[in-house]
Amino acid sequence: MFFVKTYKLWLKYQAVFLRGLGGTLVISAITLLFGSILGLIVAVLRMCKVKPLNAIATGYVELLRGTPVLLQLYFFWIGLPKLFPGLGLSDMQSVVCALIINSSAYISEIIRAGIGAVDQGQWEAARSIGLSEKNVFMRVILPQAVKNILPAMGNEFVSTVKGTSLASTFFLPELITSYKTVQSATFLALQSLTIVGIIYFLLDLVLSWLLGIFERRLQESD
Amino acid sequence: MTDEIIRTEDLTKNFGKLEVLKGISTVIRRGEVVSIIGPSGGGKSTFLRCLNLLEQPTSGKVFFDGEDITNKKKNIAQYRRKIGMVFQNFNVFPNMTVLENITLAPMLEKKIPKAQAEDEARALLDRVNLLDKENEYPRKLSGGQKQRLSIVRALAMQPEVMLFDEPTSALDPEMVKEVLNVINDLVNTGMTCVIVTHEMGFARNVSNRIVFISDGIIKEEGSPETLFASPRDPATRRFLSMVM
Repeated sequence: MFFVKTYKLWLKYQAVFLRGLGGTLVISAITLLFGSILGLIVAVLRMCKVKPLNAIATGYVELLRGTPVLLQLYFFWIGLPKLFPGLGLSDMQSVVCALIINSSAYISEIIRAGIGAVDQGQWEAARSIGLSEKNVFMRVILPQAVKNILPAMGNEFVSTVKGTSLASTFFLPELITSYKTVQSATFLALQSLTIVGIIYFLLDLVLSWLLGIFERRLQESD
Repeated sequence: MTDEIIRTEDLTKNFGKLEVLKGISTVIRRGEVVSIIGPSGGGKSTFLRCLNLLEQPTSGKVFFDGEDITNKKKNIAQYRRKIGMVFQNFNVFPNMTVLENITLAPMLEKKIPKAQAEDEARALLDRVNLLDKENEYPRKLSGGQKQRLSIVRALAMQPEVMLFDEPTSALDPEMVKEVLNVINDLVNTGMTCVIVTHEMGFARNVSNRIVFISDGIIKEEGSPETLFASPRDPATRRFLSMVM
């Protein structure tokens, strides 16, 4: 009975759920892309020898890891438009900013650990042949670090995708919001939750599978 | 001296409270082959690593071709291109093929076109009998092959001097010879070499000068004949009696 009802609900509200999925995908992709870039920068700063930069980066990471994501989302949602009234930031933009910044803290730690795991001798060899510091890092160290980073990064990607569900707090168009929409229209809470749960699960399954392929590709070259 | 290539002046290096180098002044001349011997922990490798500033000296100066490279304003990478280095643990790049290991620096830092860099790399690989491995990744190579690769990787930048940091210490015994042969060939081409080694027989055969470093200073130096046959310093005598 439950499954029939759920299936019927899916058929009827497919469009709503799929729109929610689309929103989740867009928010996740933006968060992961910019979170990774920012995370790399923070990781480099944390490893840099200039004390003040290092301290700022460390503080940044500790602060973001030491406070709840939801708090950060509220903080940005309320704070950003007040801080930059001229930009006319939408709820979506403020919340996504918070998600990016939050994930950058976690990603920077993963990257830092991955870089730290590259043998010190690789830095020395790359320097000894006269590579510039930029080429030492970009051409020799980072490609090797990526291999160390990938498994943990996969976990982080999956948890980021699930973490975007917090955006529903601000009624942004994503999966949990689509549950709220359908639930309030039909009062079929469990059924809509089941549908959304299955979509999340499949999404993470696909993501893990893609990352697995990517990891094996890299392993083959070594 | 006009033919000097590297000169150090009162070089010291501390790691925390530990004084590893306590003031080393010496001159390496072009075409010279200098072997550095001495007990472990005496500062040999640290001294060698100061020559291309992989270690930043605590005080003192290093001159390359008459220029003070310890001066912070100098771009050290530019000097390192002229100073090749070979490490105990090979430190070949595991994520690149043999050919890519060699062509990386010439292509990036000397802007040599890929085809030309590869031709030059193949010529070098031929010299060390690794031509058939050009497309392999280092994990498929033996220790001796990795070390030969790391030597030609350094040679690809056409350095004016080569530094060897215990190049055979991490090798299985049967592979030591193939690496020493390559270094010997290199010496025969007239390359200036500074070699930190525990291979006393080899040091004696290839070197113009032996430098004995212990407790962070040069205790004694001289031609291999005199230093091995009649060492003056008690520390040198003690060391040589233990290793030979």
